[in-house]
Amino acid sequence: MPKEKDIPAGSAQGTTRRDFLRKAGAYTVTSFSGAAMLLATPEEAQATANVTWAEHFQKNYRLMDEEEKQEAIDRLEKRYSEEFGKKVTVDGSPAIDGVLFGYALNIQKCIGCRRCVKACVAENNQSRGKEQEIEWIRVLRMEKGSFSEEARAENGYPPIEGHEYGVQVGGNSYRQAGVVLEGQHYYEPDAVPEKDAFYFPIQCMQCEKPPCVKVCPVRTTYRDPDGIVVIDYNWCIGCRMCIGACPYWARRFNWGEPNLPKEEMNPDTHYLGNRPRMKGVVEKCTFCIQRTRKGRWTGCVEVCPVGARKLGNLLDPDSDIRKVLATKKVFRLRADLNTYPKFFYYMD
Amino acid sequence: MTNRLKTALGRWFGLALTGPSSCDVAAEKVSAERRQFFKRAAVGVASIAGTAGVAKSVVDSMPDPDIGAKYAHAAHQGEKELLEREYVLMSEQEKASMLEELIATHKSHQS
Repeated sequence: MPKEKDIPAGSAQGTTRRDFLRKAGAYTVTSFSGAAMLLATPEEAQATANVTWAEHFQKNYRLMDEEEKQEAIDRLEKRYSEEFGKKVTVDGSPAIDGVLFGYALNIQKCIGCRRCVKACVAENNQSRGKEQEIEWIRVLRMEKGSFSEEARAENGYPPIEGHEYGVQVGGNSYRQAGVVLEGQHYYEPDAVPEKDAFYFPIQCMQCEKPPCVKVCPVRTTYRDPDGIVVIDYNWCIGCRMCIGACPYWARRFNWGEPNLPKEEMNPDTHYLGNRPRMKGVVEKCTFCIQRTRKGRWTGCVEVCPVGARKLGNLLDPDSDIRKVLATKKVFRLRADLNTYPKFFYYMD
Repeated sequence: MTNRLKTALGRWFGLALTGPSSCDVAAEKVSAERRQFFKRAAVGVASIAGTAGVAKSVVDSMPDPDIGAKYAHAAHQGEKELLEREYVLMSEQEKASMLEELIATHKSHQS
């Protein structure tokens, strides 16, 4: 039997380029077909087939020109519409000129009902269910404290004449205003607000000097011109450096494929905001970018039953947020983190 | 010179870019061996890549028994630190300088 090296290349008995390509192609097709058959339901297979090579190799959104952005958006709209069985729109609206978003929350008014949390989940297509719940807003229940004049002086802050502060629950009402929405796992009273507690919602502070942006190795998270810190989910590699860098623990990671039932999916999405995410990417509050870039309030501002939340343009002296900063008692963290958050806590 | 370079490279990779040369049989034998080597290497790489792809797909499809704990841990992460933080009231000067800094930083981003 002639050895392979004795057979002249290109001869009838040797391997030709055609044979090699045929075998390699057959092997590859067999491998992928086998994997696809093992794994995919018919709907998933169809949706996955729509994920073209273009999506795998697209650029960072910031570096795309308008045409490339539109192509990416069209691909996503097609994919999401097929996946969720409804007409899904993916908006790519850029930041509005002359706008720098700021947010203020009146901790004296907040009753801890968590309607903001649930509205956020519904509006922003977050993963839900007992096992895979993601909530961008976290409400902390804190024991009633005080911000006394003595404490300011003890810690080196200059005195402010005529002011003594305490934190009261429920604003000007000590009657409980409602119940905590089910599904929460931080506190479970029968009704809120509780007399000896106040409630402290925390979400992304949209820092003006964001540490999460500094640490991202692939620059997928960045500060958009209107001050919102956004994430290009297609570019995120899931390293979670940003989660570690965030001093407010505001970011969430998709450990698994998000659980988003088709009937609950909000079809009005933004590329950098509430479009359905995938396994292995980080997400966080985006000030409801799909709403705010169309001149609407965020979901949490709209749903708050006591009007504790304010959103506005820090560059507009007549906006609600500027009035809060000018006229209300505004708080900052005692330790200077130097992140310059644009989310403020205040009291009347 | 470019043609000679092309011919030499082609011969090295075992591609017949020109007609039969006047080189001896040993050089042809080396070309054939190199061609076989590259073919086997390409098949090997394709096999490994294909197997890796199948393995990843299978592993990804397997349910993660700890996934609930991971999400719950992430939801509570940093809670102790957040609860221990202290907030102080800002004076008017502090508010004004903070606003000034925010707007200045925003403008520097714009430029």
